[in-house]
Amino acid sequence: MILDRKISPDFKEIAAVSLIKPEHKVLANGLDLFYIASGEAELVRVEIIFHIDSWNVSQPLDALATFKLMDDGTDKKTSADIAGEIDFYGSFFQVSIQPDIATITLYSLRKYLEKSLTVIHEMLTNAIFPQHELDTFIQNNIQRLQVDHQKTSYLVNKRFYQSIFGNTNKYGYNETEDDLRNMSRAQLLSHYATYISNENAFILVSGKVGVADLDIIEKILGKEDWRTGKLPPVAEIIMHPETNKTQFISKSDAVQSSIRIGKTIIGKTHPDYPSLQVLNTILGGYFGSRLMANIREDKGYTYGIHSVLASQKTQGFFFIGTDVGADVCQATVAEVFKEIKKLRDEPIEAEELNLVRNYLLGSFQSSIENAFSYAEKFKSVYLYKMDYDYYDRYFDAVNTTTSIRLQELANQYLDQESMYTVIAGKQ
Amino acid sequence: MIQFSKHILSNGLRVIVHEDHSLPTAVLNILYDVGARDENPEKTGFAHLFEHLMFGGSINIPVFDEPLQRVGGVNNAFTSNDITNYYDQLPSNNIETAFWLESDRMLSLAFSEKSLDVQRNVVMEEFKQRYLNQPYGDTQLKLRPLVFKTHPYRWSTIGKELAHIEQAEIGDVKAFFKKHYNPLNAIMVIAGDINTQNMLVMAEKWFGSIPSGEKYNRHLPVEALQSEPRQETVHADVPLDAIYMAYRVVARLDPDYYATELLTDILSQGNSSRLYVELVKNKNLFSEIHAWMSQDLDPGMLIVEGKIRTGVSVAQAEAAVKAELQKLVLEKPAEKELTKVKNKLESSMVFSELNLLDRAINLAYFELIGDASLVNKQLEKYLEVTPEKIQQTAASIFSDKQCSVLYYLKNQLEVSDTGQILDAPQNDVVNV
Repeated sequence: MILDRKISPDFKEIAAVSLIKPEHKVLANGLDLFYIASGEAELVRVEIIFHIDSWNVSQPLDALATFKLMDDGTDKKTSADIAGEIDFYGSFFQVSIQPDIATITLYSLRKYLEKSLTVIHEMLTNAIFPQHELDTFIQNNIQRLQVDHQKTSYLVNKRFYQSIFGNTNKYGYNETEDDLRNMSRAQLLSHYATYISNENAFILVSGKVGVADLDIIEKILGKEDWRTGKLPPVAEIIMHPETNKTQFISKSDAVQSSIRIGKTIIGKTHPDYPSLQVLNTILGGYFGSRLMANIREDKGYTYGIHSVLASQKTQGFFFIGTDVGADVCQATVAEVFKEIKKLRDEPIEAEELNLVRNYLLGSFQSSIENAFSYAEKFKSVYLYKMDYDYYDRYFDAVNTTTSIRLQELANQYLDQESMYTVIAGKQ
Repeated sequence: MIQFSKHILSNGLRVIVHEDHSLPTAVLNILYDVGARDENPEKTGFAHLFEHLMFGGSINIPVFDEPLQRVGGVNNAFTSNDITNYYDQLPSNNIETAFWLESDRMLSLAFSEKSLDVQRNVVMEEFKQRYLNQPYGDTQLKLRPLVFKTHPYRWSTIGKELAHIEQAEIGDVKAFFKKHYNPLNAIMVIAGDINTQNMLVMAEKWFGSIPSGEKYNRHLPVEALQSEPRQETVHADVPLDAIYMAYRVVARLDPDYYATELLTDILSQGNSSRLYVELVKNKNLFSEIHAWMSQDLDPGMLIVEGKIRTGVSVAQAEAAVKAELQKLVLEKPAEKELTKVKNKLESSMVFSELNLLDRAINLAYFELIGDASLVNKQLEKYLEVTPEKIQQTAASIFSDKQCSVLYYLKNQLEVSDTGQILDAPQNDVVNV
């Protein structure tokens, strides 16, 4: 039989993915421990996740600095000692800060879990924030900030969040060099003593987790309180979006302009969110999206353009982002609005919608790569106080949202008047 | 340990199959033995531009991405100075779609003028985004020609200059395809929830009839040893002084490669590394510092780069770096320090085997450099390295007359009205 290369091979429906859910245990000190045992590699990941519920504009970097400097010295060990120990065990330790949560992550070979986790516990309970470490942190971050301020992509990002959320909260605040200079050791010690508490944290463990590993974690992190004292009440978040919906930051030597067009939007817990994710994918959420097909593949204005739908704890946001040749900046903005308008005015055709459905199902499947992937899927619902039925609703939306419904959603949520347009570079 | 089997089709295509039934996913990875080092010096940036064109439609299939997306697949590619690598990941029961797509674009591209026009512009925007629109972005473009005078590593994967990309013509593109994109110059890996026998049947079905083409034999100029210190100074509108110090190192297959990597780790891996602790933390001479190896197949570079603290002179910063490097020349590291970096490396190897895609790419890469089975023999080579060997390696690398330094300094620059970069290359692995 002659091979006909013009005909695509048969293909099958994409099977639903079954997610491994965590087991749950409450430890002696009240900490919630979630664990997912999967995989053959002798590796474990321990995540200690804190809720960030305090923020005030006069000390905006307290949480960030407290978490970042926790490993820079305890009463018995210097920063180099601590790093040397973790490294000696072949472990990886990192701290990541987002507006709503801070995560301390330890990757450890099982054989060194006890030793590595002991060091982590020391950081959580005995950090002393040496002055010279704080001084170094301040200076190095001032320098980093100076470099960041030369990047149109950094500038546009910061200004966009400031525009849609306001400068009055942790989501939109724009850090300055003075904020860094004004930090004091006393502030950090106070923040540490108040907020690094097992009362506003939980633990998520994934990998080849066995009984022995759980015992170690329980013994080291779960027996005693890390602090004494009550947590302050959760601070209120004050949103104060800017009134001016068009913002421009000039950078005269820019060869590209960075663009963000977007707004605040419904959060992940809203029933429309899964269908909105389908709409977002069509617009700019994959390589074959409307935005990519037009602005990159047809016009060559950019190396990449994408749209993002995301959610903080209580509120979502949406934006379209790209870096384009400075000379085609306005043309790009016009095309972006054209594409959004098309979604409002014209229903998506069946062939495109079917392709996107399959793409979303397949890429979800591909996103399960190893034991840690299941932990990611857990966090994606748990941090929003949702359950795994979110995924049922998501797959339902992917499989059944109609063109008409998507068009309704576009008209309801993607109206031009509510969008902010922020540009850094040249107009 | 990665289990796999290896086969060769009659047209010379090397096929490696790795079964893993833990997830219902499969990967098809094709590595082409061509990189930026194989380009004509008057027409650089081609390997990477070509990678873009590979997505613009093949002879029987007008669009590459859509058929793959339709069956739930994702894909990407990257180009380096040494290789061009394409991969598709999809539900394993739809693997044949990947065979159909990859075999057709190995057979022949559609070669449309429109595709070339668009991708030229896309690549130029990529050039701007990565190398021109960032502070210090063009560092590699300036550093490479300082370090390499004859070897093609003197230009970057993105190209020596924008003009080369602007001037690319369809005839050039066709010639490039004919020379490099054929079964003899390719390695295919199929990995995941698949059956080896079925994969071999599919490989034969879709790839078996592609003409083998001519084997590309590489004859690149050998870069002479460096025998004098080199330097260049750039002034630009940047907020901080930065320094980039490049030393010449051995090729990937050289027995000293492993010691060189561990030496780099001692200097710069993690927060207990020598350069970080001494120069960032203890002496506050740098706000950030990093040492890394280019890990090239031909003899490449070990670069120490950093941002200097305001108020510290460049001379002082440079002297401090050299003093740290000299410490390892004069005294071997303690056993404990070497064990530390070996432990870290061992963990990294465990990590590198977690994901199916990483395993597939590694199998292809090791097959290219000699034999896929090398993928399972790396750890022992690192563990063999002794403290004496580290010291010897440091002594052979860290001499001033083998050092090229780029000073990237803050000052007001007379900016030309087009803000144009006047010369030279970079590297980096770049994606579509």
